[in-house]
Amino acid sequence: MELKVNDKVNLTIGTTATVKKVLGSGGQGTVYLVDLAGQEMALKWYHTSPGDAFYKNLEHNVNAKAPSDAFIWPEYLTVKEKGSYGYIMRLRPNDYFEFGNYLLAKKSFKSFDAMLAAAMKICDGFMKLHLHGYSYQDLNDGNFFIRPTDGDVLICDNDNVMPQGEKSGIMGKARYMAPEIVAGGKPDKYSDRFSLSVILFMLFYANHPFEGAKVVACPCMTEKYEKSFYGSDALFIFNPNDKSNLPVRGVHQNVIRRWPVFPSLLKDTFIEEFSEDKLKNPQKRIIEQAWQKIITQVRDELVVCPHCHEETFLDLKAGSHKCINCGKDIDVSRQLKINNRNLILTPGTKLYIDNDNIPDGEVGVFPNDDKLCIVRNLTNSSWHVDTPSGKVKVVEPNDFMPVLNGLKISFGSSIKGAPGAKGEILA
Amino acid sequence: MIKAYSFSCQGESHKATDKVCQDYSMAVADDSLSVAIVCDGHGGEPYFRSDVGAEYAAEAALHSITFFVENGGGDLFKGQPFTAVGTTKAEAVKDKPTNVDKAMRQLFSSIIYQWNEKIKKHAQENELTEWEKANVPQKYLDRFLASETFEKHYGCTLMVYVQTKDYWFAFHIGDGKCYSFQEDPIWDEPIPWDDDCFLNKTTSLCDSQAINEFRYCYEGDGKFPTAIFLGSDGMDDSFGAETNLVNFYIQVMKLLVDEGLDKTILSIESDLPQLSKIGSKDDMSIAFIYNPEELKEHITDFIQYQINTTQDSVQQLNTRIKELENKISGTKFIRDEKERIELDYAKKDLSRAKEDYFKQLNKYDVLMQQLSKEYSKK
Amino acid sequence: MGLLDETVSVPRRTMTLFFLIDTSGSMEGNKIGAVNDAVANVLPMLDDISESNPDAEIKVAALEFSSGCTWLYDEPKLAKDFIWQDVVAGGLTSLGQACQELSAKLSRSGFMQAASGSFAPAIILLSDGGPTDDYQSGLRKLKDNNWFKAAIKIAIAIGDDADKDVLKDFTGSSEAVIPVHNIEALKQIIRVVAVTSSQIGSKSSTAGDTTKQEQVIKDVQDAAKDIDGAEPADSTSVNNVDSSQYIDDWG
Repeated sequence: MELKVNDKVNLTIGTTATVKKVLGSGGQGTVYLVDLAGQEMALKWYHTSPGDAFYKNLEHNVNAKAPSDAFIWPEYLTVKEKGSYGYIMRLRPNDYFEFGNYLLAKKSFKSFDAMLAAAMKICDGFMKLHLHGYSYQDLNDGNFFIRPTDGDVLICDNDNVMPQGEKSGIMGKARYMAPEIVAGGKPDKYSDRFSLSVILFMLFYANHPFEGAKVVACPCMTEKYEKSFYGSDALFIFNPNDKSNLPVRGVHQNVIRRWPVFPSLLKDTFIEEFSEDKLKNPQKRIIEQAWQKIITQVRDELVVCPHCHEETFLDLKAGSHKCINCGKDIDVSRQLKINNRNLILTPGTKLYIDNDNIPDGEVGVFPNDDKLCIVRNLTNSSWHVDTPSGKVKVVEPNDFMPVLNGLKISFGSSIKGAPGAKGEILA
Repeated sequence: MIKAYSFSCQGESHKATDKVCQDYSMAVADDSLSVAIVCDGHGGEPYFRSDVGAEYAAEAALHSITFFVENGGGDLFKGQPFTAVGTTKAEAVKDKPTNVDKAMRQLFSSIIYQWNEKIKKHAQENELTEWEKANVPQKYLDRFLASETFEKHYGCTLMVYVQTKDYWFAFHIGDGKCYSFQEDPIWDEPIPWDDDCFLNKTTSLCDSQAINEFRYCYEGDGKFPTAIFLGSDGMDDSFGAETNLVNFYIQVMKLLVDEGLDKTILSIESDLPQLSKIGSKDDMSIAFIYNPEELKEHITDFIQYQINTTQDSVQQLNTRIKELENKISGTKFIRDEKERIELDYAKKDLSRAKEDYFKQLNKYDVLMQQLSKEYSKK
Repeated sequence: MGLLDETVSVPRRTMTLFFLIDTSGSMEGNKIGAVNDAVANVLPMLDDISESNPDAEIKVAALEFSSGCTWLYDEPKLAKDFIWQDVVAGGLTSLGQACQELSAKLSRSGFMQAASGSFAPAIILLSDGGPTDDYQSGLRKLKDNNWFKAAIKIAIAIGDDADKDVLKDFTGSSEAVIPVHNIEALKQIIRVVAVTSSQIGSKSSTAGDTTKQEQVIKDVQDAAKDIDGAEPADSTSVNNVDSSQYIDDWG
C-alpha cells in the first residue's frame, strides 16, 4: 500500500517517522522523504511485503551497521504494518547521479581523475562488503550514485545485501549477473566479483563487456536471446581469440574510442577477467584488492599533457608516450619512485599515494621559471627531503619542493593509507 | 486496405554532371505490415557511394523491422498513447529509459549493424569505378582505400514509418520531413525534430554516435494517421515554410481521392523533377501510406483547412495594403533623401502586396470549388 | 488538376548577406566615406550574382553600430532593390549591442524564413577599434544562435587600432579577420569579401569537407595578397626568468 503525506510509520526502536513527500518509485518500492525527530531522512517502503526472511535480513543489517561510509545503509526498520514494511536511511545528496546516466552520456565525469576515483571507491565498497561476510544480490547500474566532480560514490539499495550463500529471491538484471547466475545459480562473492568487473568495465568504457556485434545483430531482444548473450554464450567484445562480437561502429562508439586510450595494463586485465576460463571458473576471478592495485598503477600513468594541458594516459609498458589528445610526445623523464611504482611528473598532475582518493601532492611549475617543475605538499603534515649533498629540507603542508634528481622524500605520517612511505625523485 | 507508394528522382543540379540520384525510397503495404522509407545519401564529394548507402539503409531497416514485428517487439506499443521521444545525445535530458526506449535502441542498433555490414561488403567487393576515379578527388579515394569501415563514403539519412493492425511507429535520423494527416490536428510532424539538422547540416547513419541521433514516436491506442508522407530534404527545401509543403501534400491527397493512385503516380513522376528544377535543385523523394476510405471521408476537412489558411493570408495582405496606402497618402512633402527612398519602397511593396492579394483570392476561389465538388460527391 | 497548380507555391531560395558596420567617431572622415562608396558600388555586383544564380536569390541587410545600433531597413531587401543610404560616423562602439540585435534578427521571427529552403547567411563585420560596451555577453548569445553558427563570418579590421582579438572571437578564426591599412585597400577588400561570400554562400553544392567559410577565407586571402595594405601580420613573444639560485639551494 502506498503512503500519503503526513502518514506516520512506527519504527522498531519505538519512535515514529512522518512522511513528507515522494522522492521516487521503483519496481520494489517507493522512497519517501520523512521527518525523524526533526531530521530529514529517506524511507523505502515496499509495494508489497517481501516476506519474513527478507525482514529478518534487514533487521540483521540494521544492527550490523554499514561496511563503509560509501553505503547508504538501512539505519532503522519499521514494524510490519499497513500490509508491508520499510526501512530508514540517510538522504542521498543531489549532486550524485545514477551510474546509468553516465552510460548514456547524459552525465560525464569531469575528468579521468574523477573516473579513477569512482573505480577505486567502488572496489573499496565491495571489499568492505565481502570482509563483513555479505554479498550483493541485485547489483546493477541503479545501485551506484556518483558525483561527477570528484568521482565520489554512494552505494544504495542495501536491503538486497545478504550474508553469502543466501539468496534474497530478488533476481538482478541479466546484464550484470555472472553467467552462472543467469543459468540459475546462487549469488556469492565470486559472482559479485564478476559483477564488479562488469561495473568497472562499464565505468571506464561506457559499454557492456558482452555487448558487441552479436548482440546488436538481433533486432529484438527476447528472453531466449538475453539468456544466451549474457549467460551460456557470453563472449567478451575484445576476446583476442574470437572476434565475432567486436563493438559496432555508430553504436558502441564509447568503447571504440576509449579502449585504445587506457593503459594496456587495464586492457590486459579485462581480457583476462572476461576470458572463457574465468567465466567458467568463478574462483579464479580477481579479488578487490588486486583491482585496487591495478587502478593505482593506471592512475600513476594519468598525467596532464604539458603541450595541450589535457589529461592523458601514458602506457609505459607499451612504450607509448604520446598524448591522446594532441598526439605530441610527453617527457616522462621526471618521476617519483615509490617502491615499485613510478609516478610520472608533469605540471598539473595530481599524485595519489594511497587509495583514499584524496590527492597527496600536485605537480606545478616554479613561480618564476616554468621550466622547473615542483611538487606541492597537499597533505596535512610535513615531508622531509634529503638532498644529494646531504642537506635535510622540510616541505610544510601547501609548501612545495623542486623536481630534481636524487631528492629523497620521507612522507612520515602525512599519507594515511601508507604510513612511513618513502619516495625518490628521478629527473 | 492500406495503400502505399514511393518515388525518387534525380535532382536538377545533378543532371549536368550526371550524378545518379542519391535518394532511395520504398513503400510496402500489407494487411499485417506497412512500411514507408526515405533515405537521402549525402552526395558530397567524400560520400561518393551514398546512393548505395541509401539503398542499403532502406533494406537494412526493412529487414530489422520485419524481424522486430514478427518477434513481438511491437507488443510493447499496444495500448500506449501517442508518445514522441527525442535524441539521446549528451545535452538531451530525459528520464530513465522505458522498456519501449530500450527495445527501440536495440532495433536501431541492429539497423546500424546491418548497414555497416552491407556497405563493408559492397566496398570490399566493388573496386573504385572508372567514373569514381575520374570524378572523385584523390584524397577521398585514398581515404576509401585506407578505410576499414567505409561509412564516410556511404553516408545517408533514414526515415521510416511502420504500421500494423495494432500500432504504428516512426523513426528518423537526419533531415527531411515526415507529416501525418488526420482529423485533429489536420497535420502534424509526429517525430521530434533534431536541431542538429539545420540548413545543409544533417545527422547521419555514418556519424560515430548514430545510435544516439535517432528520434521516434509510437502509438498503440487504436488511432492511426489517415495518411502519412515522408519527404527528403529536396522536398522541404523546395517549399521553404512548412505550410507550403503541407499544402502540397494535401494537393496529393486530393488527387488520390479524385483520380486514384495510378493517375496520382503519373502526376508525381512528371511533376517531382519539375519541382526540383524550380525549387531545391536537389534529389527528390517521397513515400506515403494512406487509408483510402478514411482519406475519402476526411478530404473535405483538409480542403477546409486550406481555405481557412488562405482566408488568413487574404486578411493579412488586406491589412498590409491599407497600411502601405496610408503611408503613401500620408507623405505629402518629401523632406530628405531618406523619405524619398522609403516612399519608393512603399510603392513597390504595395504593388507586390496587391499582386499577392489577387493570387490568394484566386486560390481561395479554386479551393471553394474543390470543396463543393467533394461535398457533392458525398 | 495537376500537382503544381495555383494553390501550390514554390518560393525561391534565399541567402542573406549582412553588413555590420562600425560607425563610431573614429570612423569619421575618409574611412566612413570609403565604406559608403564601396558598399554602394558592390550592390549591383551582388544583384548580378543573384540574377545569374539558379540556386538562390541574394538579400542584403545592414546594421550600423556606434553608441547604439540601427538597421538601415527593417527587413532584408533584394540586392537590386537595396538603395544604400550613406551612414554617418560619431559616438561609441557598441558591438555587444549589435551582437544582441543581430542575434534577435537571426531567427524565424526576425529576418530569416524557415531553415528549409534557406542558405546559411554571410556576415561581414567592419570595425576600426575595440568595443566600448560589454561585447562578451552579446557575443556569447550570438554564438548560441544556430544561424550564426552556420554563417559565413568575415571581419575587416581597419587600421592598427582595430581589436583583432575581438574580431577573431566574432568570426571564430584569425584567418577570417582581414586587416587593411589604407583606404584603397579597404574599398577593394569590401568588394572582394562581399562578392566572394555571396558567390559561395548562395551555391547549394556541398563540395568536399571544406566549409563555405573556409572556401571564402581562402579566396579572400588569395585576393588580399594582390592588394597593397591588406596583408596579414602576426607576432610571438617569449619570456623566462632564472631560478638557478633556488635549484642550487636544493642541490
